[in-house]
Amino acid sequence: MIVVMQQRATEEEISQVIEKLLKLGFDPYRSTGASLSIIAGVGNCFVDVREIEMMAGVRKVIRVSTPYKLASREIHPTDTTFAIGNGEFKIGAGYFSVFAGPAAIESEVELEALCDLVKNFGTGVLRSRATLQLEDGRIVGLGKDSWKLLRKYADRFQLYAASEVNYPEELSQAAEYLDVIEISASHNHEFLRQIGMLGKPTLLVRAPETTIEQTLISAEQILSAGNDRVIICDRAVRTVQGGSTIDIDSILKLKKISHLPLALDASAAANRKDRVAAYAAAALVAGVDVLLIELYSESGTGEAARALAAEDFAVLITQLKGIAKILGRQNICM
Amino acid sequence: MDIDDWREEIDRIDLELLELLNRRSRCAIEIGYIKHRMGLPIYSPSRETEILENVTRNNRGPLENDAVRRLFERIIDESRRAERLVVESLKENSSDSSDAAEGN
Repeated sequence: MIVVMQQRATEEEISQVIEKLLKLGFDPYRSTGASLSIIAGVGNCFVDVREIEMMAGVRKVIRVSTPYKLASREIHPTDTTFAIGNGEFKIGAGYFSVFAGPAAIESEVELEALCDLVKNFGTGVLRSRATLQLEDGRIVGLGKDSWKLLRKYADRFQLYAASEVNYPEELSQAAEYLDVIEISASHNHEFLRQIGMLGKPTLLVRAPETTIEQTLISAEQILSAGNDRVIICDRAVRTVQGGSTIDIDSILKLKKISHLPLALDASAAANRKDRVAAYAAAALVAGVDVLLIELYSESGTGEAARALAAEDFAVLITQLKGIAKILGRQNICM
Repeated sequence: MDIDDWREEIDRIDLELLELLNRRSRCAIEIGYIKHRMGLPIYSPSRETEILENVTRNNRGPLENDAVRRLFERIIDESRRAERLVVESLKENSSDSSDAAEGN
């Protein structure tokens, strides 16, 4: 870390910064220039730069190393690839897969119909959220009770089960029923570390309005708990016009900074079915390894406006397989 | 003297400097032991200022005072680090021995 002092910083203010850096575990290296002083803090220490920025006489603080070492390519330069379940289903470099299913499960009949679809198109992972808030404000889905159904049908159709966890008290049940844990990156670090301790493949969803850096710091919590099977999942960002769109640039940046596999929740990002295919294809070209797609069945009360019906899903999967092939993703896990 | 002669002279001076810097560092390490014994902080801003004033006051050039200051700031940084390493290793040892005592 480099601390640039203000031009008129006093000797006492400089001393206070040196003392603070020492206290934090850094070795301070001071350099007095013609008009301002610079203090370099050398050492492998975690620090909230705001603590230094707020000190008297400090002009700015420049962080040299990242606060998300385990998630970054600094110590892990090559793409991470890992397996779900018994080892055949791979996520990461060279592979491309789709997690599909109802946005939220409301009935067994609906789930059964959609499992057929997921199995027929070979997407491998049956995914559903615990609950979903519809456009009209209603909240649908069976919550954690849907996990049992997911497990039952995943086993029956030889699929893997993925769903979201929202509360720490649900963790042991989640571990029992799910193969992939979906979690928002906005949860507190303690909860994220507990998720990491489960040791399950984890889909870490970037919350709206959070930066790439904040998302990677959340990933760091899971990784530091000893779980290296983390997928970072991007969603939509707000546009200036008040709408939402996918942030292709953030996908490219994340790929460059981090070795972790990337996903895009295409249905949540598009929020209407006529955009899902374009978003999914664009994200695949940009480099995502996994796409999340919501499916709709007549018997469900989910959103027909957002989730894909069987025919649309069939067309999309065929297109995606074609694109993946052109991109040289030879091992398409679908 | 040609360029090679001057470079040889610089190499000789560097070795003298190295010897002097290590002598200085040994002093800092001794101070580290004393500071640890007396419970004094490693960082002493007033002493660092005193050192910088001492060398710039006695500077007869051709190095400018600012250059002397920057060079000695680096020397002080390294001395402070040497002191810190001494104090930390002493602290670790004392906690190890107290762990052992607890074990007994």
